[in-house]
Amino acid sequence: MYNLVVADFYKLRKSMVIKILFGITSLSSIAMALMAYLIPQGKISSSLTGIGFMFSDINMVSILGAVIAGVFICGDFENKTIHDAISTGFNRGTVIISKVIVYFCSIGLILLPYAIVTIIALSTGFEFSMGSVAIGFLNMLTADTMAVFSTSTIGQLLITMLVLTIVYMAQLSICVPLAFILKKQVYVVAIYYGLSILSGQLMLLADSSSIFNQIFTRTPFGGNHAFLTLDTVASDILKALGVSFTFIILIIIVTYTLFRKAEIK
Amino acid sequence: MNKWVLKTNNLTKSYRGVKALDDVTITLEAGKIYGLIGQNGAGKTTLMRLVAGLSFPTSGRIGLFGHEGEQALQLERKRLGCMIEHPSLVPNMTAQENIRFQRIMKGIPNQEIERELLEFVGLDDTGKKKVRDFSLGMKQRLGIAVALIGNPEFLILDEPINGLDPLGVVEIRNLLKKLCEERQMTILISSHNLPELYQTATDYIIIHKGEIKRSLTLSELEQSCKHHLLISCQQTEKLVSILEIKLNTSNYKVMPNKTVKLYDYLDQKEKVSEVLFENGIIVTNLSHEGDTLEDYFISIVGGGKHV
Repeated sequence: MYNLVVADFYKLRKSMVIKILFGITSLSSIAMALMAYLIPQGKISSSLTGIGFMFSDINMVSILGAVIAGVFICGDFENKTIHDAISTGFNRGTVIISKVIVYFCSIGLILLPYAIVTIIALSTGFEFSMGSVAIGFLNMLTADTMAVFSTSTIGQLLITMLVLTIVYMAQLSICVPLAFILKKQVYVVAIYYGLSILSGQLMLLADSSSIFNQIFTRTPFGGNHAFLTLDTVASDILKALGVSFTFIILIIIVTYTLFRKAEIK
Repeated sequence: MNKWVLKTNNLTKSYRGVKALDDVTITLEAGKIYGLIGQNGAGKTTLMRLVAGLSFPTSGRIGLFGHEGEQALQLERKRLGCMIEHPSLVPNMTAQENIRFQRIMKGIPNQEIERELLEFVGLDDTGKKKVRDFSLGMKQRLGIAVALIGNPEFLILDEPINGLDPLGVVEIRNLLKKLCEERQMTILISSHNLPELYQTATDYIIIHKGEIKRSLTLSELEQSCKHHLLISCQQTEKLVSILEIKLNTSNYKVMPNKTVKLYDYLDQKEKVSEVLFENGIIVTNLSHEGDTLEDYFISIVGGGKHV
């Protein structure tokens, strides 16, 4: 598996797509922070929070995360590198796990600008706000605005960001079985983006139904897993972590079950 | 080392009830080049995909290097090199980067093989040109180089000379022969180009509608294709002696069905007929036989369709 992962990292390094996506999230993260800074100052209208949300991490990662799955998993079916891995003796489970590792690292990479921008923005002590549309890193920026920074706060911030990134990875892990089974980039992006919109609606449903809420909270899409801040208690962080890891493992099992005996065209 | 590299036993593959492979039983021995001949849809690629683990048989068994069973096969596949349908290449990388990617994937530390393989297939001067800008022939060459990474003992090549220019075809042919001779590599190669296969392979497997119609060696094929006069009569022993005494030839072969293949006097059918008649042989058949590889293939699969 080590060889597969290293080879995929080599391929990733040579890919223009990941560089472009990193550039997009870098610019978007700056745009998000700027808008969150200018809105509370009244320099731009608060009605523009919808546009600000477009630049936010949750929106970007929902689209670009699925694009990465499309490029690096579906693309490998198109250029037959997965075929080569299997015909030269790699177990299908090993292929899946190696793809998941590289995929998650790619997600981490495109989220890195948001983490850096959030840390820099919070360290300025300015006020940031994007109103009710804030989720993920944008929510941290909004909720922890003007927080007093100390060594322990920075440590807590980094841990919270790491867990938030893992929550995103868990959410995006759904793209893995989609990519392995559908093998078409366009389907993966469209279905996942649809699912991410649906999850927003399901969150509203969870507010009105306690039973559904119980179930939904056990997925990385539900509960307050994507609303972590410096004020989030350790038990909630651990819960988000537990739910995410459990979800990722389940998704890997589902992918393996579907792909184990699948014909590779 | 196992005498056989690949063995299939009653291998069957169905897609929605339609058999793509039907009871295929073949054995491939080490150090030979096997030409897999068949029409489009005959089952050539299906057979290769099953061996490579890209597909699973509906029934029957596959053995590689003396081992059977899913786990053992997976392990033995590390000794394979494959290029099935299309070469496995990353389009946004150069030829060398593609080789490097595959080398890393296969865990081969020796970086020198990158240049060696590129030289081997004549792509050492492609520099920074991306594979997406390669011609079909260049991609085929690179695909072969990729399949050769790690020095496989068994090479599976599906239509490897597609898109190659005549010089490229000759180079690949020589390369395959060299691999077979010098490294005792077993090669399973499918092609529509029968004259080319005739010059490359040492053994032939003819597949039609998922069934193996015939497996034969080059000498058996040559024998089958060799032009001759086919003589049928009731008195085979007498016929043989007349051929030797009256026609002064021993260049004939008595077949199991008592017919005689005469390889001399091909243009003198009347003379043969006359001599046999004068010596009291009642000939029931005297015909000129012998095929090109294409004719032979068509006679086996029973039709004049495009190969």
